[in-house]
Formats: sequence, structure tokens, C-alpha cells
Amino acid sequence: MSDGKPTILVADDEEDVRELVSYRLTRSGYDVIDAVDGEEAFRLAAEHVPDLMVLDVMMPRLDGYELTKRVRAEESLRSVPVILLTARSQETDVGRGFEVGADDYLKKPFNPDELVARVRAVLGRR
Amino acid sequence: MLGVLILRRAHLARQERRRREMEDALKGIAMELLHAGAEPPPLGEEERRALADLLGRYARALRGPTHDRIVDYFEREGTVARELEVMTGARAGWRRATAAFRLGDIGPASAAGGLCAALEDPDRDVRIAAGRSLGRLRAPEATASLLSAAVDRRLPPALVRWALLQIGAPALPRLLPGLTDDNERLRAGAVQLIGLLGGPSEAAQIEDGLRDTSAMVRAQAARALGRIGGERNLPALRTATWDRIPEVREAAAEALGQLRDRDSIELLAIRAAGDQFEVARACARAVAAIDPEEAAQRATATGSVHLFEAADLAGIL
Amino acid sequence: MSALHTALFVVGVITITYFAIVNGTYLVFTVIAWRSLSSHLRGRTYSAVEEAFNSPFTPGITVILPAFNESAGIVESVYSLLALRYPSYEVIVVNDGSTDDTMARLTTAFDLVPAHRAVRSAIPTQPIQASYVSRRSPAVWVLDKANGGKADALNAGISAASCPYVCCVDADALIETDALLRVAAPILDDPDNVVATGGIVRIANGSTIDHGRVTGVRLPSNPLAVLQVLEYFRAFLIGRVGWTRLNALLIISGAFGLFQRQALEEVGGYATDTVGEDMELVVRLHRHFRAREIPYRIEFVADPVCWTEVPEDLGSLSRQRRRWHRGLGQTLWRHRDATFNPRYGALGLLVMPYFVFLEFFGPVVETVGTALTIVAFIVGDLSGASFVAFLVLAFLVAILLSIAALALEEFNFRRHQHTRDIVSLVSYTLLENLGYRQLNDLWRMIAFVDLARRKQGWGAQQRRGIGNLSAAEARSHPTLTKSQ
Repeated sequence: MSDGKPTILVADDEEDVRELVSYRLTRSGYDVIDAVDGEEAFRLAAEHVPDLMVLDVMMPRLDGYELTKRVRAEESLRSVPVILLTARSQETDVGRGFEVGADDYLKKPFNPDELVARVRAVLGRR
Repeated sequence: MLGVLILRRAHLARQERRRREMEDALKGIAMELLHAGAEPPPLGEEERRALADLLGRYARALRGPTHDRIVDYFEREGTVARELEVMTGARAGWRRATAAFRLGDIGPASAAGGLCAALEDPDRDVRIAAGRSLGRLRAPEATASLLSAAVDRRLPPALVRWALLQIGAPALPRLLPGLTDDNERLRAGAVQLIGLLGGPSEAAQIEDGLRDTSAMVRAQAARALGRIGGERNLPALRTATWDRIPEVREAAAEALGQLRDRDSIELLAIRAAGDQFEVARACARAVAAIDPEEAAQRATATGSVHLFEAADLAGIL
Repeated sequence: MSALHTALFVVGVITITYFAIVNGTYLVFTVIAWRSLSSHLRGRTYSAVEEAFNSPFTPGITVILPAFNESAGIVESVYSLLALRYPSYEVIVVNDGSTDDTMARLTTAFDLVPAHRAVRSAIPTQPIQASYVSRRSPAVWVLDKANGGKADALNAGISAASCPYVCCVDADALIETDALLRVAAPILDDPDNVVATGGIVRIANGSTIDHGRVTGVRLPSNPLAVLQVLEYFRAFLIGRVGWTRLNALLIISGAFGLFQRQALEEVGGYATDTVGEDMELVVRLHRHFRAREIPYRIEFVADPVCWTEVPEDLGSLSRQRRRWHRGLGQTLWRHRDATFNPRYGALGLLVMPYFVFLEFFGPVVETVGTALTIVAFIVGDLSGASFVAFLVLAFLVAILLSIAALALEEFNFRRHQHTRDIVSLVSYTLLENLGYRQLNDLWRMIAFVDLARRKQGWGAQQRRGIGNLSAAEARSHPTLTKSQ
């Protein structure tokens, strides 16, 4: 956060999605760090302490839900807001997302404009 | 033979590398198009194809105005028209299927007509790709065709359910006529989907399904009411727990559990102790969902292992 | 003298015919497999499986894990099952009377608490003494029962399963994260008809494993393992794809198979008195539906579903192959009335006879036939041309088929990271057909002796045996024969 721009960590195992999200967020005035899986995401988050995390749910090694749980359990990251991205459409998944401590939930295929709006809203709230 | 394998590996690796390099160079152009609507500069044949592949992939992940910009691009390029032609005219099934699939990603809403026709293609893969694309396009006008394709098994039912879920509430008015169709499978399918997409306002019509002559329809109606039903439907559901057919009894029990109907605990507990395995289990779970302590008490009273199991789980969770 | 000459001549003819049929069938299967795999892989680009799975209606699967003295790896196994990607499933571990601390480890790792579990009574098993559920992961149940063997343990799991489909797995198989999605795909496609599916089993020897997933596919350093890699390619890629086309797939790997629970109950579950219970079950399923003329399909999914370790020393390998051949013999004998029986369609008229004469008695024909053909040639009874034909059919074609299997794998899956490995494998095809195969035949013929000897007191033998076999041997694998 040294240059005033909020930092967002983006984690998704699909390169295309990662790039789309990163590009859009960078263009909207954020600094973006990206990760290819849950483990890397956690490591980078612990290192850089981002202002927000956008996480894919279906990732290998550590999925979005588990990662959120870990983040909430970690002292330094506990208050970092989390937005989950997922292709799953079941109601139970949405509920589960909030149960583990996510702040918002966006379905894939996603609308980048909507993502930016949610990011702003969540960052504004905190 | 060995030589062929090795050469091929090397060739493919090289091709892959080139593709990546070209893509990396084009990514900036693609992103500007998506996010800002910027027209790409004039490109060579190969670059244009690479850009099309890239945009096609991106299109799969996106929706909204960003997605629309990609669709506009492909319409301007004539790609959409070309894919429609291939889908209807190509001789090889896999070509038609690939075209049908792509239209779901890059096609405008108007492509739905062509895709509906493709639901009748003799090749199963083409039909499946078309079904999936209709879901992607969220075309309500495809509802009836999709439903009948599922009933005939021209399409896997799972895919049609997904597609209609994508279409969502706009599909409801087109599903209602299915409730009175002659074909029991179509009626059952309509009931199931209305239960999935609808709400309390559809509950009354679904309840009629509990009195259908077909057991398949009755079971689906019971299940659907578990989701969209309310107090008014409880008596009919309780009656359904006496149905001749075990699957109907099972579905009714499940629904009563979901609706948390205290008044049905008694009849559910009796069945949990005496009915067929699947029915008994559903009844026990329903009792535990309504009142875990009652489940535990009745378990001890009747000795029903299903009630014990359900009570144990409720206690543990 | 002339009688001997005639006999040699006849043997020569039979042998050549045998090789012609076996390798000919293989050639046909190879063509089928090429086309089938190409369209399967092409189909991936426009398949709608992902979409179909994101649904509240996707049928649940009960994964059954039989365990006997698996103390070392049982917790890992269950963890890897919990990491599977599938919308809804449960895991039932069946502790088959382990004498080590399997139960203790499970109890600690998963915080097991006693809980009642309703169990159907249709398939009789050894008594289940207790049932537990994991407080930490309520999808995990453990049944503690008296020892009865792997088949019996599976039957217990089937009787307790609450999902419409059951997936029977081996404790020491490494299951791919997407395995359930892959084998369930044919069921989602055609839920009315598909009653069982299986997938490709890959060999893990030599590959790197990280967090329970295979990350780097390398050829094993052990030559015996490499030979088995080739064998598995042929058996899985070509053999099974081919047989599936005839709806006559006889083997779904014991390491990983998906079945419709209802169907298993209808046929009475696994047989507990045979050593080839996985094949025996599938044959029984085929017969059940064909006899009643109920439409059904048993599918093979050309995607890898699990990884296993194969024996790396001659002793273990020979014991495994002898056991497999014994199992084959038992199954074929048990279902002998289906052979040549038109009531069972392609299964009875084509597949069963093939397995009896070409698979089961195959090693005899190969060994004796080859030896006598050579004698016939030396003695002058077989013309040079015929002998060359024999050599071509018996060896050259076989080598080509091995290479074809390899090419198929390479073209379609490209799992091997190093080109070096491909070159290595091609050179191994020579050793496979001139040495390894003959050794295999020898072991399988010893199995005949085993069968004759063990005819009495079979049941008791098996139960003691399971306890004494090493982990690698005790795995009841598919009866891996030449054409499977």
C-alpha cells in the first residue's frame, strides 16, 4: 500500500481468468498480486498482507473455502476481506462461502464490471 | 515409428511455443477490446486466428457488457455467421459440434434459433453442444425444445437441467404447459424443473401433481414441494406418505422434513420403524430434521436403527 | 512316423491360427481404440460435463474403502478421498477385522465417535460389530467388522451405502482428484442404462508424488516395472476400449470401479469364495441383464482414475500373475454355462469363448505350440514360408501392437515428460515380446497346477492368505491378461 493504491491478491488456477481479473483491477487503479493455487496464495498473502483477496473456489492443493478458513484463522490476515469466485451454482455453496468467512461471492462466468463494483463496495465498507 | 513420435513431439512443442508468443503479443489488444471496446489494429491472417482463439477462451469466462463486446467483434468479423453455417452444413459431426459449442461462447442471443434446430441433429455430440450453448445464451425460447429433448433422451437430462437453471425464471411460463402433457416423463420433467426454478406461487399447481396417475410425477411433485411448498401443501404431502409406491413415500417424507412439519412426526416415526429401507431412512431423517430430540426419544421407543442413525447424526452435527 | 508328423503339423496349424486370431483381434481393437480415443479427446473441447456437474441433482456416490491391516497408509488414503472433486459423496471405510492399529489411527485422525448406521440385509456378510462417524468430517464413516476378506468388506459397504452409486477402491491406490467426475460422466450422460464404469489405472512406480497427487510422470527405473507399464498401456488403452464397444467389458479394476448400488444388490454383491472377485462380479452383472433382456451398459472411461504400485521383483510378480490366472479360471468355470450360449449374445458367443480358449488356455498354446512349431520346422515338417508366417504373426505383429499402444498413449495423452522415456519404452517392446511374455506364460501355466491343487478347502485358504500376503500382492487387481 506504499504508493496509496490498494493491493488485491487474485488466486485462480485458470490462467485466463487470472489475467482477466488482474487486468481489469489494475486498470481500475489497484495493485494486483496473482497466485496459481491456494498454497501460493496463502504464502503471498502472509508476505504482502493485501487489502482484499479474490479467490477461486475450485483450486488444486487448497481450495477457496479452505483458504478462506485459514486466512480467517491467521492473525495478520484475519480482517482482510475475501471475495469468492465460483462456477458452482448451488445455494448451499453460497451459504458455505459465508460460513467460512467470505465477504462476498461472485459466480462464474463473471462480469468484470460487477467484480469491480463489489471490490469497491467491500473496500469502502472496511 | 519412433522417429515419427519424436518428431511429432518436437513439432507440437514448437507450435505450442509459437502460439504462446503470439498470444502474449495479442493479449494487450484483446484486453483493450474487452474492457474498453477498442477496435484492434489491422492484423495478419494467423494473428487474427490467434486473436479469435484468445477471445473465444475469454468469452467462456465472462458475461455482461464485456462479453457483449466480444460477441460484437465476432459478429463484425462474420465469425458468427460462419459458425452457424458450419453447424448446419458441415458433414463431419465433430465440426458441427465444435461450431455449436463455440456459438455458446461467442454468439449473440439471435443464434438461439439455429441452436434449437441443432437439438435435432442426428449426432449426439452436436445436440449436447447445442444444449450447452443454449444454456450459455440463456435463451428462454429454447425451454420447450430442451425439455422434450431431455424426455426423449436426445439430451442427457442433467445437461437440460443445467441449461434451464441458467435460463432461470423466464423459463417458467414455458414450462407450465408441460404439467398437463400426455407424456408422463414430460410432466415429471416439468414438475421437477418448476420446483427448481419456481417459488411459492407455483406451489398450488405442483400440488396437483401429487394426485397424478403416474408415480414418477407424484414423486417429483413431492420433492418439488419440499423446496417451494408451504403450510397449505402439508396435508397433501402427509397423505402422500401413504402412497402405494415407495419412491413417492420417500419423496414426501423428505419434503415434510424440509418444511419442518411437526404434525407429521408421528406418522413419519411409524414409517421409520416399519417401512422399506429407503423410505424408513428418509422418514427418520425427516423426523431428526424437524426435532432431533424427538428422533432420539422415538428411536429408543421403537428401536428403529434408522431413527437412531438420524438422531446420532443430528446430535453430532 | 507319419502320425507324429501329422501331429506336429496340426500343432503348427493350431499355433499359427491362435496367434493369427489373438493378434488379429488386437489389430482390430487397435483401430477401434484409435478412433474411439481421438473422438473422445476431440469431444473434450465441446463436452458439457463441467456444466452438467454443477447441479443439485448429480447423483451421490458412496466411496467404499475396504481395509485390512493398513495401519501405515490408511489415514493418508482417507485424506486423499476427502480431497476428491465431486458435488456429493460419502466415504465408508470398512475395517475388515484388522489386527494392527488401523482402527486406532482412524479414530485419532478423524475424531471418530460411535454412531448407529442402518445396514441392509440383502447381502449376507460377516457381522458388523460397530459403526463410527467422524466428527471432524461427517462424510466419513467407519464400519468395524469381523474379518471376511476384501469381497466381504465391500459387500458390507454396499449394504450400508446411502447413495445410489458406490465406488469401490483399494486402500493403496492413489486416486486422481477428478476420478469421480470422470467415471460418473457416462452415468450422467445416460442414467437409465449405465450400471458400471471403470477407468484407466496407471503405474506409479518411478513417478513423483506430492501431497497425494502424481506430479511428475517418469518411467520406473526397475525394468520389470517398465515392462508392466507397456503391458498396462496395451491392456487398458486397447483391450478395454475395444471390449467396451461390444458392451462386453469384463473387467473393471478392483482398484477403482463405480457401480449402481441397486444393480449390485440385485446380483448379490461380490462373491467371497473366489480370488478374481472383480471380474467375477462384472461377468455376473452382464449375465443378469442379458438374461432378463434389460438394456444396460458397462462403460470404460479412457481417462486415468488412479495410480498403483506394481511388483518390482520376479517373486511378487509371479505370485500376482498366478493369482490372477487362477481368478480367471475360477470365474470362467463358474460361468461356463454362459459360454457359447446364444441367450447371452455377444458375451456368450464371442467374449466368453475368446477368454476361455485364447486367454485361459492361451499360455499352453503359446508355450507348447511355439516349441513344437520350431521342432516341426527343424524336422522339416513345416515349410519355410509357414515358419516365417509364424514368426511374423507371433512376434513381429505383437511388437508392432505394443508400439501402437505406446503411440496411442503418446498421441492422445502425452503424459510422459521426457522424450527419453518414449525411446526407452520402444526398445522395451522387444524385451516384452521376447522374454517377458514367455515368462508370463510360464507363470500362468503354473496357475493351472495351483487351481488343481487348491480345489479343496478354498474358503479357509483365502482368508488366511489375505492376512499373509504383502500389501502389493493382496490387492485384488483386474485379471490382467494379454488382451485386457
